[in-house]
Formats: sequence, C-alpha cells, structure tokens
Amino acid sequence: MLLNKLRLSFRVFLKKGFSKFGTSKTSGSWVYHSCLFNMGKMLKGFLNSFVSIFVSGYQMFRRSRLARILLIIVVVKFLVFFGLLKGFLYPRFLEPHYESEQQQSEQVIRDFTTTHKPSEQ
Amino acid sequence: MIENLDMALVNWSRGQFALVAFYHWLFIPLTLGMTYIIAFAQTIHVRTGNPEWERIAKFWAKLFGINFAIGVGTGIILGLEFGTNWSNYSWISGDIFGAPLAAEGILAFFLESTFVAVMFFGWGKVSKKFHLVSIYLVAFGASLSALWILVANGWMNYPVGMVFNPDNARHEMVDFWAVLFSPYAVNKFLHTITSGFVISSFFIVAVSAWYILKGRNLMLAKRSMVVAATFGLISSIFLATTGDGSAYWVAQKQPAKLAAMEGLYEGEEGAGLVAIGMLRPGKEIGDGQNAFIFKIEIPKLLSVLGYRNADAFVPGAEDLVLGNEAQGIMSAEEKIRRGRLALDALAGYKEAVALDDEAGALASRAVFEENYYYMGYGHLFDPNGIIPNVPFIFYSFRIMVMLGFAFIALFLLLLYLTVTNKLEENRWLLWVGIFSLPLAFLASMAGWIVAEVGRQPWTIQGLLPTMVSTSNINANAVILTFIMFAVLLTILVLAEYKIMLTAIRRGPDNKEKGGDNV
Repeated sequence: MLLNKLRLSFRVFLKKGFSKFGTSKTSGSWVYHSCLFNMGKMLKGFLNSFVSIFVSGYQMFRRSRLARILLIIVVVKFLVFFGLLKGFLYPRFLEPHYESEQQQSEQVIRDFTTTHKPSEQ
Repeated sequence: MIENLDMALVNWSRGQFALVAFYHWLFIPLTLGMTYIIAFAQTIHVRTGNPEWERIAKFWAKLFGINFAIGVGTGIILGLEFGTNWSNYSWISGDIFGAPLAAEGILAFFLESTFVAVMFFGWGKVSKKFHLVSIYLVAFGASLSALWILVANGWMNYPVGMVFNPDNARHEMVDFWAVLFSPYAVNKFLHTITSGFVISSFFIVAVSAWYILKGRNLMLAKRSMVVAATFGLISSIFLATTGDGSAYWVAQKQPAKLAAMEGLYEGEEGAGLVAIGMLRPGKEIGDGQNAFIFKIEIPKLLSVLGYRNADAFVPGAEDLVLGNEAQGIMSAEEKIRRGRLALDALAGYKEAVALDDEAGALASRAVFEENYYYMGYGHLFDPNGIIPNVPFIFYSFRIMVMLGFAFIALFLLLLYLTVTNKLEENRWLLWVGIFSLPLAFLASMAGWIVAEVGRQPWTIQGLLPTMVSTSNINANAVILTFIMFAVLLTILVLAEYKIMLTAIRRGPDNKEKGGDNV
C-alpha cells in the first residue's frame, strides 16, 4: 500500500513537474490529495525552508552589527588556524622528514628503544 | 632522534597543550549545557504557546551564539599539535586515537554545525516543531562531540581494545566497542559533560541574578533562574554520582593517581578519606615523616569509595614505588627492569628482522611479549617518577570536591528562594550566584588537573611516558608558538567577554535599560 502510494506520487511528480507539487489540486486523484509521502511537496517544503533560513541569515548579517562582528571573528580565526598554523607553523613532523611509512615507523622505534639507555643520553 | 632528551621541549609542549586546552574549555561548557536549557524553554513555548518562553529561549540562544562563534574551532589547534609536537604519540596511538577524533569531526561536528544554522536563523522561518528538533539536535551534537573526545582521553587513562604491533610500532585497535564502552571512558564522559551542565547553569544563574539585582527583565530572570537552578541541581547531584564512579576506576587502574589525590604515602587497610588536610612541605617517599601537618579524616571511606569494601587495602605512594610483597605489589624498580627488557627485545626483534634472522626474531619477540605490559616503565630512570605531583593533585582534588558539594547546596537554596519569591530579599545570595560562575570554572579546571596531571608521567597509562611522546623539534619553536597562542586566545576570550557583556547589558529587548519589569 505504502509502496504503491510512493510509486503513484513519483509518477505525478514526473508528469506535472516540481512547480505543480504541493500547490495544485487539479489532478483529481485521491492519491494526489491523500498521499503521506508526497515527495514533491516534501522536497518543496524543504527547499523553501532552506532558502528561508538562508535569506533570514543574510538579512540578519545585514541588519545586525553583532552578527557581522561574529562572522568576521569566525572567518579570521579559521584563516589563521588553517592558513597560518596548519600551513606554516604546524606541519606534520614525521611525513616531511621521512618518505615512506616504513621509514617513519623505524624512526619512531629508534626513538622508542634508545631513550632508556643512559649511555646514549 | 631523541637520544638527548630535551626536558624543556617536553615541558613546553605539555604547557602549550595545557594552555590551549584551558582556553578551549572556557567555551565548551556553555555550548554543552545551554543548548539543553534553550531547548527546554522552547519546548514549553511550543507546548503552551506562551510567547514569554520563546523570548527566554531567544535571549539565551543569542548568548549561546556569541560563545559558539568565538569558541568554535579553538580545539583545532589541539589537533594540529598532535601532528607537530607529539608525533611519536600520534604514530604509536594514531590507529586508536584517530578513530574517535574522526568520528567526532564527521558525525558530531557536522550534526551540530548544520542544525546550529537552523537554530539561529530559523525563528519563525521553519515550523516550530522542526525548529525545536533542531535545537535538540544541536544539544545532542555537542554532547556527541564531547563523547568522542572523552572516549579518546579515557583510552589514554585505561588503554583497552588494542594490541601493540612491534613491526610498525603501533597500537592497533582490535575491539572498537571495548574502547567506546570502556567503563573509564563512560564515567569520564558522564562526569565531564555534567560539569559542563553545571557551568552553563551558573552562567544563566549569574546573568539572571544580575538582572534581579538591577531590577531589570525580572520575569525573564526569575523563570531562567528556576530552570537553571533545577537543571544545575540535577546535574550537580549526577556529577557527584559520576565522580564516585570515576574515583572507583582510578583506584582500580591508576593507583598512583589515587595515592596523590589522597596524599597517601603508606598504604593501609580500611583507609580513611581526608576531608580537610594540610600536607607537610618537602615530604618525600620513604623519609618516615608524617605526610600531613594536620588532617580531618572520614574513617574507612577511601576503601569504600575505591574498592567498595570498608576493609580493603589502598596502596600508598611508598607501596607503589618500593613494592609491597604482602599485597602483591611489584616495586617500580622491578617494573623498570622488565620494561627495559621489553624495549631491548623490541630493538633486538627489529634488528633480527632486518638481518632475516628468523630464530633471533622469534626469541626477541617472545621476550618482548612477556614484558610488554611494563614497556613504558623501561623509559623511566627514577622509580619515584611514577608518582605524580602530590600537593598539586591533592589540593586540586579538594577544591573540586568541596566546590562541587557547595554547588548542590547553592542550587537548592536558589531554587527554594526563587519559587517562594524571596530571592530579591536575599541580595547577598544573588551576589554569591554571580561569583559562583568563576568558581564553577575553577572547580572544573581543578578536575582537569587531577585527571591529566594525575596521569603523569604517562601519556598512555603504563605504556608510553610523556617524555617519549614528543617530536624532535626545537624547544624554541614551541616556546614561540606558546606565546603566540597565549596572545591569540587571550584576545579571543577578551572579545567574548566584551561582546557577551554588551549583549547582557542590552538584554533581551536589545536596550540598555528597561524590559519587562514587574
């Protein structure tokens, strides 16, 4: 039953296109009116909400000085973290120094097995 | 190579990690707890249709947003430090430590970040129920982030679910569920997350108390006070319960940390818990001096809390360092000897493999596996080094516990006086409510000191000491970045302080004065 409704709903979507969904009551089909899984309606509702949230966010940043300050802080912070820190100050230590994983593991084992020998301190 | 161990490098690397973690933790608790309080207020609004509750939810969401925007990403620095400052640790434990961190990034952070947008910008734009679900998902996402991080941290304190592969020097995960549901990790998660709830509650209590003192936004302040005091009371009682669970697992798996927490040098059966005490400065292991100048002890309580048995033996620092045959405790010196056997066997194994000496490799591997459990001890030179800094841990633990119990009483009093409408008559309590916010942070930081400094000298308990975990980089580079982070993060905290105070001063109606005075 449920699958059948889904299938019919999908057919209506293919026939009428996205714009008719959720607004038109002309199809006359009971499936069209009662279908719980009207995918087009759901999709349209989702997209409407998404656009509405985006517009609301945009308006908030235009209207509110606080929102703009916070946005600048977030952008500058991430530029510093990923641009400056990750790029220049915090490279991975092992990878650039030792080409293969084998060399990296040998280096770690060398560190690991020599620190306990007083003669090598 | 680390043939010449640079302790300045080790200490500065530790200091840098502690510094960043400290600043990171200033932001996290508010994210953890405030979302639940906002969700609660909005739930009442959705169920009753009362617009006042939506106004309350919106106001706290605005302050949450400031904290979220300024705090988000400060944890990234910690992740970068692993690869640069702690490359040996990252290599040895990356297979295990990496999995929860990746899960945190992919599952939790994206969940939180996606729905945070709906939470901030979706007021009146999406259906109320969908918006409410989004707030709950933000709260759930924040808790899930904390879960993965604390699972990784729990594993460092009690390593389970892995085997050490001597061929590539890595701990390899064999049981993900053992890592995820390790009792140590579960208790740590519950204890830490509830401490975040308590701090969030105090944040709302402090702001509400300030409004009541100023006679502004009284409706919002009193309702918020009731919600925050109730949430804080439940959280702080749960915090005490999970603290008991944490102490139990510390006793089982980290006896040296427990000895430091209690200033216990000589182990005893039916050990008491020191309620208040002052340690004797300069006390050393085996010097025969009394560890305390004075103390008030609750008889047998330490044995009960640590072993669920009033007569159980609790080992002291001297038992752990010098050994106690009667109690079956091996001396630190013997553990160091066995650890060195394991490390020499590991080196021998690698050499034999390189020379295609199969018999030699098998023999070395057998010796290694026999002594693997003590591997980390092989790096230590001083047996006394297995005990962390006793006074630091002892006093930090007492600060945390005393403040924790004081918070229960304070929340109870605040709740009672608010619901009986007597809060405004007790202005001193409102001031106490305001000053409890820094005290809640202090208690939380003291807890972290007990957990992390108490684990020293280990990065991974018993298996990897901190001094072997670092990269072979120049200590000056670490000092330079330490100063840079101190400046950068202080600016961020000051920015949060300034923006937050301005938003609080303006209040829910975005005005300097006025509001819904009743």
